[in-house]
Amino acid sequence: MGIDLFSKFGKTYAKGDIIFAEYEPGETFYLIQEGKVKVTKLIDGKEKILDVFGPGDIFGEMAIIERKPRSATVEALTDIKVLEFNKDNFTLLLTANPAWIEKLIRSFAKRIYEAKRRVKILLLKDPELRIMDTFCMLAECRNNVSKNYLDPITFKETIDSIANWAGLDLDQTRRILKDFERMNRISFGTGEITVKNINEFYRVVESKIKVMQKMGEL
Amino acid sequence: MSPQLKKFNKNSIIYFTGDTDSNIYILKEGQVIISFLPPDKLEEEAYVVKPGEFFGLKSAMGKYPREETAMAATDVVAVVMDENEFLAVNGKNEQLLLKILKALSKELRDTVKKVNQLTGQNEVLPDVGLFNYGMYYFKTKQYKKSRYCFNKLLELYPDCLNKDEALAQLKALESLIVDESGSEIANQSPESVLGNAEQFNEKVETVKKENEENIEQKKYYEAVNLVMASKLEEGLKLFKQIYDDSNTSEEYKAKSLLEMGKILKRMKNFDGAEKVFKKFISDFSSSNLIKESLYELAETYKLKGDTENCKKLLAKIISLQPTDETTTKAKRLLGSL
Repeated sequence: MGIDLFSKFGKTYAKGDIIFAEYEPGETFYLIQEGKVKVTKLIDGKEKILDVFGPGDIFGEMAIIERKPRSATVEALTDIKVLEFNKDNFTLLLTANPAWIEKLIRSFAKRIYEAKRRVKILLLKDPELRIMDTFCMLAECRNNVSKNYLDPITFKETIDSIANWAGLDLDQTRRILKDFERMNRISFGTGEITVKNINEFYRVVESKIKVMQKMGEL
Repeated sequence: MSPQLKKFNKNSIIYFTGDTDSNIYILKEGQVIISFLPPDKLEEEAYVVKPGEFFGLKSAMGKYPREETAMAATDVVAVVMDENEFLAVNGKNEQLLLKILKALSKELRDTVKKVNQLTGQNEVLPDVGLFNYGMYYFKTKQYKKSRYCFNKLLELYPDCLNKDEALAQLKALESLIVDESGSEIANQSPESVLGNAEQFNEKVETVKKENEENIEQKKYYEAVNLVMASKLEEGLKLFKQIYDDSNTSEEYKAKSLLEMGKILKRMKNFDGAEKVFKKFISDFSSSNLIKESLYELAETYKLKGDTENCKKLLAKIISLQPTDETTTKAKRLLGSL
């Protein structure tokens, strides 16, 4: 395939170019053939790197799902070659290479889970519970962490990212996390947060949800 | 392990919600019931898998715990394999993979819609977001990226609120980006410096403003930390200092005043607290903290023994839209009186 597809759908970007910026409407998605990109987001006025992708990786694929603004900025880390797909031609392009479909299936399966978990978190009214459940979700997304995991778990997360997951404002999240720290439930490191006992968070969230279900508050 | 045929007796569980195995099943004989609790529902839902269909694929491919329970509704025969075996068998069957992708797309679209409904109100407007990006890149001297954002902004939202500012920034960028490689000018000509003087002053202003925001934010959290460490007097002093400072933004003035009232209430200085909350309500009537301040005042009345005013205020809070945590708290307090 390679040459033919590239002549039709290929694009090149120079190092430092923006492929798309957060908030721009998204209609295309990309498959990297050569080079690397970084995925960034402005959080609290600062640029945070969320991910780095390389050859064979797909990005911007949510454009197949919804016409919504991009949720992050993607920038070329090196000179890059990509294939640009859109909603109309992606089936055709994917048929040429089933491995890409597999990548999309994996990505969508993970995103479905995250989105469902997010709905569950956002339906909790108590902000403390939301934050606890956010940590539970993050623990689930790591392989092989069962609910009975008793050792402390360190997450590469910040107050901003937790606020974002939990759908809370930064001030409130900071206050609650500081409270948790004071109660020795969590501790802060540089760019990471350690939960001392995730099992406790699970028990609190689950028992509160049961109460809420009984009261019909959910 | 290679793909295996497995038998399950009627009513036996093939896997439970929360299990972390990564098997994918293809049903050969019998029926399987998949039951799950939708995230936004109270009751379980279920569907039936028929021979020839898959189950367990999503959590295996997405690498997360099972979100559903699979039970044999009859005696069942199924092919069990892990994801690698699945791909070895079906990895080139693009029609099948596309079918799976389509099903997942639909489910993802529906779920994302729900998330959007729940978070919708908090989102930044796209034109404001793009403008902020442009300003950020400008400030951090990433001029080409800044130009990209302002150009996109004007292309997509030609009538946006920040149109004039974006145009001015682009003009300033013209002289900052000399060649396509995006390097900045080392020595600017006197004309370009003059031409941009206003622009640069503005820039200095913006930077200054942001520094002030950082300072007030830093001080504010310092005060919050003092209160959390039960150093009430010191916290109160610092909040008052932030509130009295003429450079403090309205947002932090409001926040600090409210905290002052709360501390006074905690110190059992109820008259003082009442005064502060009343000042908050009259000075910051459009603040998003207004409901919280009303509730604090109601609690103060209660602590003072002024049940009548407390009840009146609670009734008012309950009547205010939208219904939120404060509404629930107010209802609870009213019920206890």
